[in-house]
Amino acid sequence: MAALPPDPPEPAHEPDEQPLERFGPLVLRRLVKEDGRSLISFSWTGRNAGGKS
Amino acid sequence: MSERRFNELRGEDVVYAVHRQDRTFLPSADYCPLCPTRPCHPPTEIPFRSFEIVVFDNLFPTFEAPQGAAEVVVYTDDHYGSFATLAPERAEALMWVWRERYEELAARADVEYVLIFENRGVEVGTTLHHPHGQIYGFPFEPPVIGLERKADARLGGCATCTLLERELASAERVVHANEAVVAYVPFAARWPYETHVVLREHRASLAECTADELERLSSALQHVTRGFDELFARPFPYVMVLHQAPSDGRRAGHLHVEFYPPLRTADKLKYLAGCEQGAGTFIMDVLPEASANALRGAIANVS
Repeated sequence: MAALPPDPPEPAHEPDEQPLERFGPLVLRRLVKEDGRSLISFSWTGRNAGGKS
Repeated sequence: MSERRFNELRGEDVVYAVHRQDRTFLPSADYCPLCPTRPCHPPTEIPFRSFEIVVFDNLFPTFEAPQGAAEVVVYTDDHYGSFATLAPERAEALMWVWRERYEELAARADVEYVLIFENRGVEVGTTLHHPHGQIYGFPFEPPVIGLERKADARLGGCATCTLLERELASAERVVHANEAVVAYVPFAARWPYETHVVLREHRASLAECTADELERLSSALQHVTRGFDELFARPFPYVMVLHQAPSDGRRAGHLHVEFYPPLRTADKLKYLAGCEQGAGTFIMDVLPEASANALRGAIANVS
């Protein structure tokens, strides 16, 4: 029986796996948009720094 | 990139940001660029299905690196509402967002002054209804800040501290106060319901405030803006501006928030006309004591 092909590699950074920063009570997540502009998502609940509803 | 020219007769800079002429203008809720990106819809400025508070580089910047910055601060993913209607914890979080942006932008070599502001209402030129504000990282110190330093020199110390003492002593124009913050219509207000929200302690910027002061600042700002909406039983347009120390390491400055609302009645605007623009002298139709009395009552109604 032929060997199964290897699993595809995991993306380096899934949107919700990017490193988070902290500032006071806030959790920050920084992104660079497709056109090069920066975006920072701030969350104070820690549940939603962007991406998940 | 914007072009800056010095107006010799005025002794001040004028910024030409001609690319802003084509910026998004009053889109419907279905096409709001500040809403979350929804499945099967075109992407908005914010590539998330939901968010709490987001800051991003303005697509139509007045300033941009390496000569300053222009950012948009989106208060909520809810298209409707205003700063006044935010949940208290969200308004408090916004103070921390402002503080983080102040500290990061002020540390940049190309930013001389961090201006945090909100234009609310078409009467003051807002082009997007979604609750949001803006931040400009000025590559030069704007003239209003120079005027505040001249006031410091004229009064022999921090002008904001002195004026706060005077307002507290008379109490005639105080509209709201808590343990850390006082809101009043200033003695020589230039707008009918101009209101200053001032830290009791001398804090040069948001970076110097305690967590408790930030919470009380957000509370006072919400009391004032809710009072504004109550005043004429309609959404109350305003320009809200944070005044802080410049970002050159000098501590001169006293954190306070100034509101410049253009309404003089429920349906009449105060215009900057011949005397204001041609002579630089504001003519007012109402005394600050009278407008403070009305605003104080409106704030009490919604507190």
